[in-house]
Amino acid sequence: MDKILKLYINEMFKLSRKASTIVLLVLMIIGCFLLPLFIKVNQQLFLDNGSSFYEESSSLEQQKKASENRIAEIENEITALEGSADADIQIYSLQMEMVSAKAEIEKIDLMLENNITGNKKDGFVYDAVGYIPVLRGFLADLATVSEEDRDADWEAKNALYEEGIALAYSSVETKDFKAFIDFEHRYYQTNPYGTFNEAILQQLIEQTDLWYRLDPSGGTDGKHDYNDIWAVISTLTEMKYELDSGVTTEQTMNSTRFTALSPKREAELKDRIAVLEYRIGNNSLVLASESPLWNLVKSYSAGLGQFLINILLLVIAGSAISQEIATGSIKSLIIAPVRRWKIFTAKLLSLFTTGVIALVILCIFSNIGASVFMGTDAMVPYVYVSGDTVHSMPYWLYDLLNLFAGNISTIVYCTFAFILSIITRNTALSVGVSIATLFTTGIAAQLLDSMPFPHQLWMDFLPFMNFDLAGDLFPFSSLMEPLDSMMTSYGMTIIRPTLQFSIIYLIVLLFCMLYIGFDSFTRRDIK
Amino acid sequence: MTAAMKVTNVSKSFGRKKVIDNVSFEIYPGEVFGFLGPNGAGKTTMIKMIMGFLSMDEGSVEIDGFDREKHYEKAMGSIGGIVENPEMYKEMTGRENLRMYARLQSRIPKERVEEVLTIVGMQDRANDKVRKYSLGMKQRIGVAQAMVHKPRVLILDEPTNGLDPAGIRELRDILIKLAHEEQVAVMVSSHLLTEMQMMCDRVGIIDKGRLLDIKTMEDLRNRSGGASTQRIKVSRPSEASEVLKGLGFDKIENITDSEIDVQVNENDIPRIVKALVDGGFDISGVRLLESSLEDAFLRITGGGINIG
Repeated sequence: MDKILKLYINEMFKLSRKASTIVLLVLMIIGCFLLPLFIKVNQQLFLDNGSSFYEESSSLEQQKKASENRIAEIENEITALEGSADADIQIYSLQMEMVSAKAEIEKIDLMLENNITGNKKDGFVYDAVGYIPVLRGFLADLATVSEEDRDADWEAKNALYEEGIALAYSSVETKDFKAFIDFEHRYYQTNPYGTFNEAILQQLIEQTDLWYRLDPSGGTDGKHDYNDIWAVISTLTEMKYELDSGVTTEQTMNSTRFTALSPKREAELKDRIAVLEYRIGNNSLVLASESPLWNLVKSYSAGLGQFLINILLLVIAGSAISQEIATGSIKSLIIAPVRRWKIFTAKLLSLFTTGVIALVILCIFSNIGASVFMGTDAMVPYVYVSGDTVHSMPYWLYDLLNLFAGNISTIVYCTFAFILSIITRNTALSVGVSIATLFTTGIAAQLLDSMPFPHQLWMDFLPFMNFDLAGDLFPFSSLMEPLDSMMTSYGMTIIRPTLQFSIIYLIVLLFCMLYIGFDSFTRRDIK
Repeated sequence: MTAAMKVTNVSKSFGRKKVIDNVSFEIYPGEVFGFLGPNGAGKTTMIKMIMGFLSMDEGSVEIDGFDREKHYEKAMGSIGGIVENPEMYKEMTGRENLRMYARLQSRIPKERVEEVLTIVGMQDRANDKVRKYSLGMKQRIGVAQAMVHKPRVLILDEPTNGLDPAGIRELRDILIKLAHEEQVAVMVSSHLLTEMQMMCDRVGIIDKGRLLDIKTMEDLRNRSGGASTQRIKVSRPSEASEVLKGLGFDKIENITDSEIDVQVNENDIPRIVKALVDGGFDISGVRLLESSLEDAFLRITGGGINIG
């Protein structure tokens, strides 16, 4: 062991002196800053503006004008109808329409007066104001009930609707979200349209409660975007609905399929719900408006880093033995009192160490680069379910482990280049062939995934089908991204071997490659 | 005396060609052993087998009492050397190269690296990258590397390659000092006879993979009786040769129109010249035609090879 350690120290020292190591690592670090800078500068191009919604005051004016015109029309129509027989019902419906048109004007006036446009700062107030036309309609409906038929229920409803309108006015000033939630609960319980069953009622109440939990200001303190909060609420509700109803809805490009909930999907949903609820409870949600480009930046810098690290390691591995033989520097290793298998082991260890160091550097600098330009809001712990309990893992640890899991292929390519270097004793050939393999397997994987035939067993035995372990090891990663309702549907339809199969397969593959290289290096003459 | 290195019945083939054929020899502490042979005789192959670059088809190598196969690291820890040209990591300094090599040996005090740098006269350039070194400087670092762990056996393959005459002299002195004062067994390969003559105590002569003979330097000299072939440019050579024979110098090898090649001891030359001048012959020159060792060498190898 002593000799291996000494050899290993020497190997690490040699690698630290290699120009290619330094250059590629520096390039990677520069990339970790340039990429987020570029995305930050051009962020308008990356952000989807369609999702943010608000009404311009000019359009409000137009709506108001339209309503005023409609009122004038209705007045004319009523005048024309008056006196004619059997016109009562028509007149009644016109009157009702007039009520809502007037209420619409009332709402728009209130909005214009207080500059409420439905954008981020307005929060729930926009919803509260939106109740005005609805409640005015219900009130007008109630008013048609004759005096003698008005019972306690009528009284309660009437009072509630009046209260709702008063609340709309007051919340513009007070921004009292609690009062609004309280009102909504009671409003839902009156079952105003007569269409709510118990389940829907429960769901509506839960949703408003969740909203209050997520953002007690109702969006009026400017911290959270209303849309983001509702993305979380609807995601959770959709998952719960799928679990309760036992029906999975699969949305594809041009069709919607309904299937019975599979046990696997059921377990997955339960876990995801648990994780999401934990996140809500621990205030560790990632919201789109707060770190919209974080994941984009991270995926680009991880991609760039992975590419450079692969090239770096293939260059080192592909030249490890062959270059020493070519330059003759291997002589001082052979003459030294160390057995050849120790040289082999030390070189391999130094290679993997370089990979680990490079990944740690990537992890550190991609996060520093991303947080300099994108803030640190998205650096939330990774939450996962193990057994029946929810656990949380610090962000840094998760990010590093996730990088490792995503770079399993590097170990395989790197070992491949290493044994090529031993067997062929030709640096250009080893580096060239291993880099070519790196690219062609990527293309082959894409091709196979896009093939029209179904997944077949032999595909599991292709090395590159077993490389993606990150998805299996970190199934809850997507809950660290800003949510949208799409996430409840199945993400990947690509079939991969199971985690157990992949791990065993990779171990066997690596063992075979290393055995061939080991045998060749320890037994062949060095001329 | 026990041998520092013992090579027993070693053979090696490359494909069908037998490059080393049943070679055995021993080297003792305190001696400089010359491994002499023409290019392609198998000198480097033999050295590479001793050093572990090549496997042996047959035979064994024992260093300092340890069998190289069974106790590889112990055996190799007692050996130091240079194979062909000294090659090092070019992006590192001479000192760093030495330190890396020294680290792989067991327990070398840090001062030892500086000590050997001083011995080979490289302490001033030790911080330059090897890529900037001349061949001679690399050779010096190579020698330093070979002796940094105080090996019992030092094996140098063509060590004077690329050295200037002063460097050769220095190296010779270092090697002789190591052998005679520190009881190191030194093995030096070369195709240059004169070099061997100047530093070796014993010489093994190898040709076509076979070890033809091992002789002490003294033996070699005695074999030729100390005589060397002199070419005398003289008038009337055939008559002159009779005079020489009359004096007892009858080992005349060749007579041409103007020259006589004759084997004589160097201290007999004045006597011959005087006799010839007295006899009325005109002498226009006497010059050494062949060294004595080469003669002996040619006799051993059957005269079938060229000596560089």
